[in-house]
Amino acid sequence: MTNEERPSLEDVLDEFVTEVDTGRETLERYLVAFPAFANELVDLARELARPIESFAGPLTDKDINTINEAWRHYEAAAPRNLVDPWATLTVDQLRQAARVLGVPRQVVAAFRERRVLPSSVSDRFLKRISTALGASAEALRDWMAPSMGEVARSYKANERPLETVQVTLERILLDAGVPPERRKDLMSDTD
Amino acid sequence: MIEPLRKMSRAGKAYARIPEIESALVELISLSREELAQRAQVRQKSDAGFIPSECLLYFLRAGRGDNSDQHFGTIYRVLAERVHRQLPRATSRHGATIDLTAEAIRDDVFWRFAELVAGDRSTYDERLDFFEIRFDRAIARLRKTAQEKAWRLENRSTTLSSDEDSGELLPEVEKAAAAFSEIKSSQIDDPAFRSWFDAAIDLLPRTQVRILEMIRQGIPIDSQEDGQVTIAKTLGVSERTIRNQRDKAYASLREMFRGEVI
Repeated sequence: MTNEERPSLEDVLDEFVTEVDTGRETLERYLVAFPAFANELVDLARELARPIESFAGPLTDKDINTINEAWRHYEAAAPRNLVDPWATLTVDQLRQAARVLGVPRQVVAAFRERRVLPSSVSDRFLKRISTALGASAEALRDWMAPSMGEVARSYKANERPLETVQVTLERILLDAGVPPERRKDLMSDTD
Repeated sequence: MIEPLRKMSRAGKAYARIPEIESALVELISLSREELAQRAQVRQKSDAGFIPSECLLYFLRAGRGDNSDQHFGTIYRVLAERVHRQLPRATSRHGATIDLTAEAIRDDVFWRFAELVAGDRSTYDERLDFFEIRFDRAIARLRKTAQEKAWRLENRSTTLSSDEDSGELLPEVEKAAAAFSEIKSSQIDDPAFRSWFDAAIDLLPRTQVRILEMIRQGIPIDSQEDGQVTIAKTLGVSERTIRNQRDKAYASLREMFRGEVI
């Protein structure tokens, strides 16, 4: 049975929460579709409908202390310093990697400059590029990932930030003039 | 560019933010750090410049790589305060504590949220995606989880034995139920009463809570119509049992209300 045929309780509640409307009609639809989860659905419907007026008064000392403590916890949870996997690579190595991968150098450069949208890069391609560079695939993925961090870093200036544009791998390949068949092969997740 | 959410639905489609939030992000992403921090302090939803919590969370997650940056501290505190303000206060309409469990639930919900956000700094947590879609509802979901835990600890009864409760109610229970029904009708427009009523229902056995919720939603207790969702069918018991449980719930609420007034 597929995930779609036998959803978990969490899946069903996730979907309920993201419905446009969580009133009677939606609740009834879910009660009919998922009778085994009736209790949880009704409990959730009650929570979603709970008449909580946002408390407008001053927070208690306890609340303030809790928030301060949570912020300290958040600060302490900062991710390990990312190692730049590109920092030690020479121009020759980058050129060689492009040759091995069979792509123009600008494709490799796009990765180094974090201009590639992480979600558009298959694990297979990432493995190939990491092998070609002699770097770890995880380090490459991590380095690509803080695309939002790039936006955040741009907030360090008190001027309006330059727009950090990330595009899909497909677009990078297209712009680099990689032929369609080759593009398809590079982007595929299967060998 | 705004990074899409990563959580996938059962159908294999990526979840997406609601259009209003995506539009708000497009506007906000062009603000400077100072402008964003200023706007984040706007409290009233109705005020121009108010930033939805979904957007604040986006920027917080976007800044996960920035350490000890006071700018993100500002956003964090605004968000944390909003979560606190959304949690039910553990008081009755007369200010006395109605249920110490409510305080435990507040702590549980807040820390669950705080842990999710802190953990997301090092490893993207798809569960936070729901908070970027519908922040208030995601908090409501955390409340539900916290309540279940609290109720388990209190060992509240969870199931109705099938139809054991289909007999006649004691006259005093019926009377108290009717009295409460009247109180409810006359006071339901008072926000203080509604807040008390909502908190009081939480103290009832869970099946009674569910019955009252379904009644509130307008779901009929029973029906001859084919395919009509009913409370009896949903809970798998007779219509009589539902009515008895409802009346017992009202009688309990009547007692609680009397206790408040005295």
